[in-house]
Amino acid sequence: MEGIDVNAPGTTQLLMGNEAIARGALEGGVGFSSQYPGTPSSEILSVLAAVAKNMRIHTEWSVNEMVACEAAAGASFAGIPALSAMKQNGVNVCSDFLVNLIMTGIGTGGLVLVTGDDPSAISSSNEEDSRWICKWMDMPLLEPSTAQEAKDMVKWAFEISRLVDNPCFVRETTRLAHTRGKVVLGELPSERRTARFPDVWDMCKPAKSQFTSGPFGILHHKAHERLKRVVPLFEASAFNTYEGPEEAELLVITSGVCHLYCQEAVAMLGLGSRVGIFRLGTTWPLPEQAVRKQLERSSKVLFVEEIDAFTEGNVMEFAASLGASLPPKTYLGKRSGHIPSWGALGTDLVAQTLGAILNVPYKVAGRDASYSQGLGEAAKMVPPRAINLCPGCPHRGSYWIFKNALAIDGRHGLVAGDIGCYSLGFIGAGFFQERTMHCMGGGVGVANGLGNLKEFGFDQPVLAIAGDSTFFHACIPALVNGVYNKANFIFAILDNSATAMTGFQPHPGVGRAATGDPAPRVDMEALCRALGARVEVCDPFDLEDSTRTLLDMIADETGGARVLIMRRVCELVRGRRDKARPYNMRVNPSVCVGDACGCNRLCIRVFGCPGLIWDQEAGRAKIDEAICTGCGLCADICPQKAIEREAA
Amino acid sequence: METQAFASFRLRADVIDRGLCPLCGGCAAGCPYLGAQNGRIVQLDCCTLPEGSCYSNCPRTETDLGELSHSVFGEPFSPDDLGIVKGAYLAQATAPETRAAAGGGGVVAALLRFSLEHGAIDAIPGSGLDGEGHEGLRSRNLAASSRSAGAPTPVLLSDAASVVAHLSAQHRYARVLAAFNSIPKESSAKLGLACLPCQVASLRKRTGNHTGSRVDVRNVKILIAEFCATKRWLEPGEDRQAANKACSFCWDLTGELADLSVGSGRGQQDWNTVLVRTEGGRHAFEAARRGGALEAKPLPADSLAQEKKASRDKKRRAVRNLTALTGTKNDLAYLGTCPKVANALQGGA
Amino acid sequence: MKELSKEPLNLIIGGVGGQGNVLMAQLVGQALVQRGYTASVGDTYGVSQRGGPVASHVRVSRDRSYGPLIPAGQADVILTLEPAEALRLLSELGNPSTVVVTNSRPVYPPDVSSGRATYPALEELFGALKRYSSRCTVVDASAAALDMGDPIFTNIVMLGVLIGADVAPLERKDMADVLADRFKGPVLERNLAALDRGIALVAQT
Repeated sequence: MEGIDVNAPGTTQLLMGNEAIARGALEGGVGFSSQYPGTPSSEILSVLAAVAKNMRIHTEWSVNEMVACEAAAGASFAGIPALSAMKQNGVNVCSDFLVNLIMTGIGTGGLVLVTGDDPSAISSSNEEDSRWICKWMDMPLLEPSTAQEAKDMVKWAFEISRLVDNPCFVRETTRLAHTRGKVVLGELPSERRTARFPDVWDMCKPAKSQFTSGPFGILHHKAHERLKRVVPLFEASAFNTYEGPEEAELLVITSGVCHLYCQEAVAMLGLGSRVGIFRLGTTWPLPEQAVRKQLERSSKVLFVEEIDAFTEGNVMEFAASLGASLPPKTYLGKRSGHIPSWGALGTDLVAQTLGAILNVPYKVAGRDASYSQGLGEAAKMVPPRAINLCPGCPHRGSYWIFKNALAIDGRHGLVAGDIGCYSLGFIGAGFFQERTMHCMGGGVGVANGLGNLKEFGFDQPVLAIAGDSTFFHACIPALVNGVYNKANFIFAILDNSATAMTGFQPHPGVGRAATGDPAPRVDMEALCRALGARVEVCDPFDLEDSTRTLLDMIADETGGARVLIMRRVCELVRGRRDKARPYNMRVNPSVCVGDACGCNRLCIRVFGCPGLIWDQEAGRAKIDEAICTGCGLCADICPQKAIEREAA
Repeated sequence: METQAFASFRLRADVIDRGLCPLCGGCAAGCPYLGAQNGRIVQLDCCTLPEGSCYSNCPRTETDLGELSHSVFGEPFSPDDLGIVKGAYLAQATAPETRAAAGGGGVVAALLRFSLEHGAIDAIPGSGLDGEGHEGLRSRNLAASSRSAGAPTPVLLSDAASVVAHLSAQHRYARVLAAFNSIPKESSAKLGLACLPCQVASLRKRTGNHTGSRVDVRNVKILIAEFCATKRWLEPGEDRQAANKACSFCWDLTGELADLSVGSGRGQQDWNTVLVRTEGGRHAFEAARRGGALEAKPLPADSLAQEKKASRDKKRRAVRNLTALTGTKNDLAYLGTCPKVANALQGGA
Repeated sequence: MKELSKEPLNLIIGGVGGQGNVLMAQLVGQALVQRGYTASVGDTYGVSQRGGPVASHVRVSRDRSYGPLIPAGQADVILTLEPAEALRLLSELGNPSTVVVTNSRPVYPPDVSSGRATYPALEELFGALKRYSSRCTVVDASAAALDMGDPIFTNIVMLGVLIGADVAPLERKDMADVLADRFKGPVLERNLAALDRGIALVAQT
């Protein structure tokens, strides 16, 4: 299979949006790419790292998005085109750097920032439209609708960035990032740049560097002005497209993957002669002349975009500024309630909305009422399918230990949670133990507050949790705070040697770089000890020892924050590494007496590993051999020891 | 769902939160949802079941002494100060090293060791020394993981040589019921054990195992009660005052539902007071005497009088404290409202 | 199906997170493109992988690009690694002409194992699938994979079933070629064996 670095312009590959973005970066001359994993953007760096050696570029998994963005900017200062991709939350993390970066400019390299939003928060802790940052910080914004456009726009974004001397944003959403489509490859650049930081101290003519912020007010003004340089390009851009009649009953203004939904919805309803679709590919700054031209086609406008009323607001703001010179129009969208102001959109939703506006009833094709009704009834037999931790997941052991230790302690303690696979502790998968969950590092941060309320009678044990990758990303400052301000909490680091939820990318504690080469391993325990915290390490599958250690640490309120590292490799990582399973598991049918046990299906109802199921006919628990990974943990929770493990 | 619908929550409300729990262990080890820590029974999770052996096995939930007496002795509950007694003795282990190890007469250790050696019993559920393992026991319950440093473990003794050491330890009865609850349910091993009166009551409240989910209590062939001086061994971290308060609701100094009851010799160092209650108890006692493991003589009258007074005082104190707890004269909480029982406990007025 | 029978042909490959859905869809997409079709493959990723329902929407055309998601009621083929997921997808996206092909082995969700919900009896489930589709093929791909020694082959077996059931314009050679692109040596042999098992399974129904 050909890689994305193949030097074969004009050939076609089936690429997902993220792969196309990586290819676009290569075509745009990228030399430096730094990123922190985040769904839906993670594949971008993975794919670049796979070809980094061949292309002689630098790729890295940075410790967090702020450092990633700063590093990429540093490369751009030195004349090397740089790319940093992130999910919506990463944009928040970078924001303080960006708001200063626009004061100084980015030098001659070029800096492209790709943001992957996740409408409906399919894989996120929040739903957020990151496009606002471009309006907020005077940065140009492009929105591709297909994998092909993603490639072409990213390539173009490097030029735009150099033109405005600021980062250029390319915004994708989940449905673009992870959809594969045909991409025709372009040319790879032949020249190679030399890196040099240009603005060093000149002892003969000492002067302030361009890369330092100040005088601040004037620089803000300059940032506004620099953005305007891109307006002529956007006005003329072929990424802003119109299809439909010269004059339309309804003008749809859309961007991103919603363009495809609109096209398909119009086709399905046969409205091609009545509805015009104006697609904005250059979303910010608004190409006002182009927009005005389209607005003149119709007296009714419908905005179809994910997630917020970004373009809707910008266009309406622009239209208001035109006053009476623009004939009055009806604007429909999120403000009017025609399009939801949250969640992912889809072809059906757009079709329903168009149908309602234009009085064309939308029926689901090919289905009559009796089919829909009958099928709807039949579908009720399908059980809900909640997400769960994987079979063999060490977090199941960790949460079991937390649950029991806090219950034994008896003072209604809690787990302040964080972002990762272990976030699933907020539901049955982790026994509902996780009682707060916000952002990266949020758990240990919140614990700092709860841990300093003794004067107000607070006596509940506080366990902050975070994964190993999250630890490096965001937790260290909060841990320092906990030691320094003597906050009473235990920080449990769930070390499974992976950034698991996003796809097992390596991090500083793993010993491997993005390219697969060996890398220095940052010693988490030594680091925590150096901060002055008490540190213990235990195995989340050793339920007895770990519970005892945790209870001991809860009782030890002498210092401030203390650290318990729960260490066991992620089962999916282990499975790929080892191939063979550690144990063969079985439920002994003569020991398990099913509901007669009196445990009320502890293994299945409470412990809940998907590898354990209920044998309806026999009336007892059973191992699902197609799911069980042979980790052996369930053998330690059955009160009758009916679950047996045998070394494989 | 209304939490009172769950047996475990009723146990908490009726027993633990009311300060009645003597920490006998009858509930904890058999159930994965309960544990014990620092002298408290703790609930690890909710089984959501409306009925459970945690509640029914507890000596401080509804206990019908009349029914239990019929079931054990075939007789009504006795109004005598010491309950049903078929023979009262002073006895001692013949081996001096057994007496030295146990302190006092060493009767419990000698009797159970003899019974084990001669096949009257196959195993003794007991309390482990120094973090001993769980060989022979199957239940893996997280009460074990809650155990503090220095706390005993449940064990099943089948080796006669280890009996004296285990049955001489200060904490010898602390894990007996946990061990019993952990015996594989299909086991037919004959069991002999010694424990406190509340633990005896917990065992006697269990009927034969219908569902096959637990070992059958009818496997217990010799059930010995040790007189309970209230100053029982404390769990690490347990509060002495709270423990004494819980025990002040107990009516049963000498273990009136056991096969045999054994107490200290009351000033007769090297001797134990032994009260034989059932035919099974008598059989075991006589066998050990005939076999040379025990020496016995009749209990002197003044010793018997002292034991009766101590037992009577405890019963009266229990009645007083229970009526204070319930606030109603004839309501003895877990002992019910039957006047016959109340009268019997107050010396058959 | 040697040639594309409909424009576009809408195929859904569904199952439970962790079954290897995404790899299947990628291989199918690649095979279609290598045959000269235009295809788009839209996956569900991330958290769903932890045991939630997953589906990949494959849209096949002679030359046009379609949106990533199949609109309601427009699925032509529903191919699943798990039978309840077939009914879930059929209810959202099926119509009376839809063809259903499914693995028969249930994956029980936590709510079912705990007793909070019930999994339908398989006869009832298959009956509903047959009633609301034009054709329903049920095979035990899991058993075939377990027989090969590892449940991980279930998805490749189902690729064989896709070929055998003739629901897409693909032949054995097309799938074998994309497998050979990705795997080498003994691993390739095993995957080809799984593919052939799947083809054989359909022949037996």
